[in-house]
Amino acid sequence: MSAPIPIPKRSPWVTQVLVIDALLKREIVTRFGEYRLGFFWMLFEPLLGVIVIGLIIGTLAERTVPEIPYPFFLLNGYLLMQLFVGPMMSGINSIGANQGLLVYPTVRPLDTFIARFLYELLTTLFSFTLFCSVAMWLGVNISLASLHILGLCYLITWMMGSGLGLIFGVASAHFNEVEKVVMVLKRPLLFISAVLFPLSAMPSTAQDLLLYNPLVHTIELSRNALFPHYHVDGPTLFYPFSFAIVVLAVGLTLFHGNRNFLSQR
Amino acid sequence: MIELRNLTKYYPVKNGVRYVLRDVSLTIPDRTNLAVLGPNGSGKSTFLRLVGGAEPADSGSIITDQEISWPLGLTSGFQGSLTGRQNVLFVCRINGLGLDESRYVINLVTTFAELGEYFDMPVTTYSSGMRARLSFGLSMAFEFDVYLIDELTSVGDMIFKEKAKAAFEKIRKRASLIFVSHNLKTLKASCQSALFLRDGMADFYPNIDEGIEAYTEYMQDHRNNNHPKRGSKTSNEKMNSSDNPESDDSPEDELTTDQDPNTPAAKKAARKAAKKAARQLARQNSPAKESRADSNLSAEQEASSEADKKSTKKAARQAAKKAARRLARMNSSPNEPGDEGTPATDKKVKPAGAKKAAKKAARQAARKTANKAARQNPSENPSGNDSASDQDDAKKTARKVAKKAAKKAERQAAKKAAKKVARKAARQSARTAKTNSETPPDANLPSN
Repeated sequence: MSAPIPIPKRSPWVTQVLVIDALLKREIVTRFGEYRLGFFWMLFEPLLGVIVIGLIIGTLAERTVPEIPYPFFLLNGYLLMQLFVGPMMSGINSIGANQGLLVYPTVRPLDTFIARFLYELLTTLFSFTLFCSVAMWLGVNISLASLHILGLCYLITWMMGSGLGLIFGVASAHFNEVEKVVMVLKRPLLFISAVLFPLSAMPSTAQDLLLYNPLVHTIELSRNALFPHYHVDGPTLFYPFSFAIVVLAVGLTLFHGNRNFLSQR
Repeated sequence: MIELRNLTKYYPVKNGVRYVLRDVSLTIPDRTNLAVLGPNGSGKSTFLRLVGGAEPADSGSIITDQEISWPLGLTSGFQGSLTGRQNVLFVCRINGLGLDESRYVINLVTTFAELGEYFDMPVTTYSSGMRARLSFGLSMAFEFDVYLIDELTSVGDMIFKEKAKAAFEKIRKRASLIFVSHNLKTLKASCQSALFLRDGMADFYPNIDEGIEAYTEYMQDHRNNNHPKRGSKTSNEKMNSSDNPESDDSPEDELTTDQDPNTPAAKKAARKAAKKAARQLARQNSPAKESRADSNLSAEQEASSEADKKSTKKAARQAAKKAARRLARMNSSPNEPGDEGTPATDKKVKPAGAKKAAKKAARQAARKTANKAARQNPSENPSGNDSASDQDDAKKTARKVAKKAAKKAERQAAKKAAKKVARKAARQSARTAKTNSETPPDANLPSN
């Protein structure tokens, strides 16, 4: 056997980046490595859901948003919901799925969370870019004038999902039932997040109730930013942003309090 | 140098916590291969994980100026759904190796592990030996001052073990090992010092022999006290004692009572019961015999415990000799001090038949083990597997002769009781057989 390689010394930050990068690549490989057309599925996984929903209620819902082609209206909302649900669900068994890799002293449980959350963000952004290009190519009236608002909507949604993912991740390390409960709880999310219909199509009492859902705010505002003629009344960025900060803070605090427990086997 | 300062680690258990290390302070010097000893569940793996930085301590700290590897274990280090190659690449990536360096590492690992096409298969499909190869090859591709190895070499085949040994030899010049294994032979061969963990305590022994001695002693104590902690050892002991039909006659009796009283099995059971009664009587009648029986017991235990640990032949012989000597002393010293060394005279003295027989047993056991050790496998490795059989022989002989002696000594007294018990046992087995044969039709009646 020839000479072994010395491990280069690096600063903690560089190490952190290296670890997260490695975990991210590992995540991509395991999620799509098993499928023959892995890359294809990465892009079309959200699309598939949209096609199914669009076929079922598309014709019905189309009348409520005559100014926007319904598939694009739906796809935007669906992507945002994915960005919310994705990190939330992937946080749940994040540690268990990477248990074998946690023996490496530089790989810490939080890294596995961060890598998974980043993975969700990256795939969604990739899908979004593709979706915008296709829409523009088809001549849909898409405005990228308020791209910053759009970006904030996506970012805040991702932060909310990540915060919840952290909380549920820590909780599921203590109680196995958490995954089941969250699976049930997320089921009505499609209907209470104004993904299928615009908020304005709801009765006003329902609107008031739905506005308690922070996801409604980001979805509505992103539509406003994306489609110039879309009318929005009520949603603000402040509410989902506060929500995101709170859940992230709670999640990180929980994580910190349980860090010894989480790195045990 | 690795210094543990007031290191405390505990795990939550059902009611409260269980300490793996409790306020442990010690220093492991450089350039010594450290064997980590301890019963199951004493925290050997946890200790490695602590030292390797895979798990934080609850309090205290580990101070070191050395590059310490991650703990190499069978169950950790790999993501099951990734292939071997992807796992190796992962480790290269987290350490920030470039493309060329990664290629170099992969090359080293493939030459060491020899996994063939399995290198590109998910790690979940690997056998434990393959995992060990990959794990070992991977960490050996990196330069560390200390390698942490957790029961890895025990699963490998001969080729892997040779390779591992060669790798150990090679790194000895530049690095040291911290080695967890239950194979004392391997530990002795590759380590100089020992760390003995138990009940939250840790003792460092600069000399591994002392460490192993302390460990063996501890295990023995716990075996004799029937300590609840050692799960696997209990089953070993049970297996050993079930070789001896005398020691666990009750389950056999239960088995044989199902049969016809006239069958040889039932007769055997009856005989056994008689023997047991005789022995019991003998023990009750004379305290000297009690102590002999005890010594016989302890000899057996010693022998079997040694066999468990697969220690060397020498140790086995010594144990057998010691036991035999003790046996002899026990019986002879009250009456004829200094007699044990002169077997020729012992026919002239007229001790009770039991004493004579016991002495004979002692001598015979000692001689037989010694002879056997010399005779058996003269060409083969003297520290081979035959030590266990030697001990078995010694055990068996000692047991047999002691039994004979007991019988002889108290035959008169026991005869009556024996007969009585035999009759009783026979009667009982007859009854059971009868009920057994009657039960099936009874049970069938309601359904018909």
